[in-house]
Amino acid sequence: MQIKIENLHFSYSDSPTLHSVDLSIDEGKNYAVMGRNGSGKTTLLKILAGLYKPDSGELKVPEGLEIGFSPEDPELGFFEKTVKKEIEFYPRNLGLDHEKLAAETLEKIGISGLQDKLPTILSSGQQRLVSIASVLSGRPDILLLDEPTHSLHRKGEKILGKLLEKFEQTIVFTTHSSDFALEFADKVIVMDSGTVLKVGDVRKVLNDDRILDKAGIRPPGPVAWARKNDIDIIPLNAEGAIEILKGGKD
Amino acid sequence: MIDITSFSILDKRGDRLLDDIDLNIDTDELTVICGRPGSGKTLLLKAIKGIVSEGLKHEGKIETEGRIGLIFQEPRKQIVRRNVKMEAAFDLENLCYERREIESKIHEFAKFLDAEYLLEKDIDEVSHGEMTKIALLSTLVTHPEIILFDEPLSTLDHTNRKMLLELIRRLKQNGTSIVIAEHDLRDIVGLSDRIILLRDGKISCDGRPNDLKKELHREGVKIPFSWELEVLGGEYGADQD
Amino acid sequence: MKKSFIEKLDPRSKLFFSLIVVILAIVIPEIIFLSALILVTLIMVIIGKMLKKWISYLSVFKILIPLLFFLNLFFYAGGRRYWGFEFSFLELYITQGGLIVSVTIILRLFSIAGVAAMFIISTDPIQIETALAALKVPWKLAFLFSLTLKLIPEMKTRYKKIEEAQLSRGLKISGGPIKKAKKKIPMMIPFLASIIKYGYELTEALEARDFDDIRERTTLIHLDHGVFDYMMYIFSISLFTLYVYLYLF
Repeated sequence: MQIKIENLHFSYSDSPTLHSVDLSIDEGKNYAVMGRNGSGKTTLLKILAGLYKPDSGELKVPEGLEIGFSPEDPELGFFEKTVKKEIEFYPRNLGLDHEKLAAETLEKIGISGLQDKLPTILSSGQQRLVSIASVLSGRPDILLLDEPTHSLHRKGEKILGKLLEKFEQTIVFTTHSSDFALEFADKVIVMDSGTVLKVGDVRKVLNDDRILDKAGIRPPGPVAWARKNDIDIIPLNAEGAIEILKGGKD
Repeated sequence: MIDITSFSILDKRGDRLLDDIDLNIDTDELTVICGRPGSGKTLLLKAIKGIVSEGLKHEGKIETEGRIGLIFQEPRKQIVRRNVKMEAAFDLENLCYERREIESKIHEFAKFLDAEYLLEKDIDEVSHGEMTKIALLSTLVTHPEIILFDEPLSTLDHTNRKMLLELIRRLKQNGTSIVIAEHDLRDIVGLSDRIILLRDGKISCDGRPNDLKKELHREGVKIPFSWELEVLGGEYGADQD
Repeated sequence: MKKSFIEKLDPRSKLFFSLIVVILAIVIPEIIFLSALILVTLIMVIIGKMLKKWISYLSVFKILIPLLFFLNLFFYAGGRRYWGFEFSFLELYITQGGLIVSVTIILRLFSIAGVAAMFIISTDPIQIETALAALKVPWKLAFLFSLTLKLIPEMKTRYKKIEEAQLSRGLKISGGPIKKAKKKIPMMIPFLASIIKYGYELTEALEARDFDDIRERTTLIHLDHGVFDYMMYIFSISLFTLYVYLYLF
């Protein structure tokens, strides 16, 4: 058990109100937070990040847990002259070996070629990757990402998804892309009108029409396909579906 | 009518952000300009509207006929008035329409967009999806022949996306020419008649959606699941609809 | 949003009142007169239920006020000396003259800022635009002015987002004032960049609306004076006459 939220309430003039939120975030798992605009996804993330304090209820975070947060508009936080320096910012603040960690992170994300460039002139997809790198480099125990797939093309998404799978850290991200959640998340937190509608295994929750309808989430491609073809197992992506088809035809 | 001849946009260092574009859009179709983020889609759309940013040079020419409306990627940024109704009236006021005509046009199109309830509100009370409706309303009242949308769906949630697609469908039915820049084709492909793929500022391919599945997949544009199966699965993936 | 009494007034009558107050504040340097002006504005603010917002707008001056006060206090001399010290060739004393001048300057600032704040808070930007145009200010200028009023809330939002982005990467603002200022650099740089960016965004928005092509225009806005507006005009004129009379005699 890493983070536990009990009966949390939060309201603030600029944000959607959260009420009666009960949630536990387990160590090492990837969570996708989904729901309509205004359902409270980003607010929840910001409360987990410690940027807002709840009005009532409990937010139990283990002592000394380092939490990194990457916001929805990555270019807002850029202030350094090079991508490398930007990525060194977080570990430097934590007193870690920033040069080493930055180099490792650049490597992992595959953007070493960008390290001497000015962050603000990069394309939106590249900026997104730099922003994620600049939060990863601090090696936080928990990684919170707000709409990380926004403005990433398919290859960028695959890179991101593979990274999320590889990391041992706990990752919580908001997304509108149910396909991405299906492929790369372990669990889904469905938000609706400021409260948690359901938390569960990604394959189960994203296959549940009642929940998808109520929360305004679109069924992932593979789910719709499996249903149409009367297939019980939900593939995680197109490659998975093709394996199933191959298996069926043999 | 949009007629683009040998059009390029260069930045300060001489890099070509748009490279020798030749394009003609003439009909009442829905055209999608797609490509990776950074491929030049937004630049092209803005250039069609006549907006080229500070510090950028252009070569070649773009000729258009008829009024053109542009909906920004973040519609909030193009709204200039605080009250919704006054925002919708802005362009008509600038065109010297009579007060009575302004009122009637606003109401007519607000009805078309299911946006009548928004007219008395202030911009800060309005949700993200409603913002798109308001930007559309402000544009529609001036009877544009062509409407350009810059990545309209990417920031909308599923419910709002359905709403916008329905509005776009209605517009198409009404005979408006529509050009949409998108890098996620999954929702829009059903309505599109023509797809133009941009790559590093150049036109890479141009044709009917069904003919371009492989190229689109290869370029990293998000395509419908059934298309992915077709492209990846060869014989196994065929006939998956 | 329910409109308060002051908000419902025609912007022209409010503008007239504000201009009268500003003129009186500049021309009449008496402490009692200035205090009364501030009091009148305060009463209007309370009737208009804008007190909280009014105070928050005026709190922008919270650094300027003490600064002005102390500078004038020590560096203007005249009359009885109350307290002070001498330091080689420097003679700094709080004098009766200095005290009066400081207080007068502060009160004058408050009168003008107070009534300006009241006007801006209680008047919709579009009404400000129309009121200015009624004063024969070219429409484009009036419109651009009303646009700049959007700047402040937008910048507040962006600053907050930048702050969040930096705090969540381990930035800690602590230490003495100089150290704190240094720590704020990662927030200041993107903030300044975003202000400039906002300027470009506005330019594009206006280009998209064919702003440059506008010559003449009609308007949906319809300004009408009501009973209370006439009362406002009469009140303003009476105030002016009263002051001038009391001051001259």
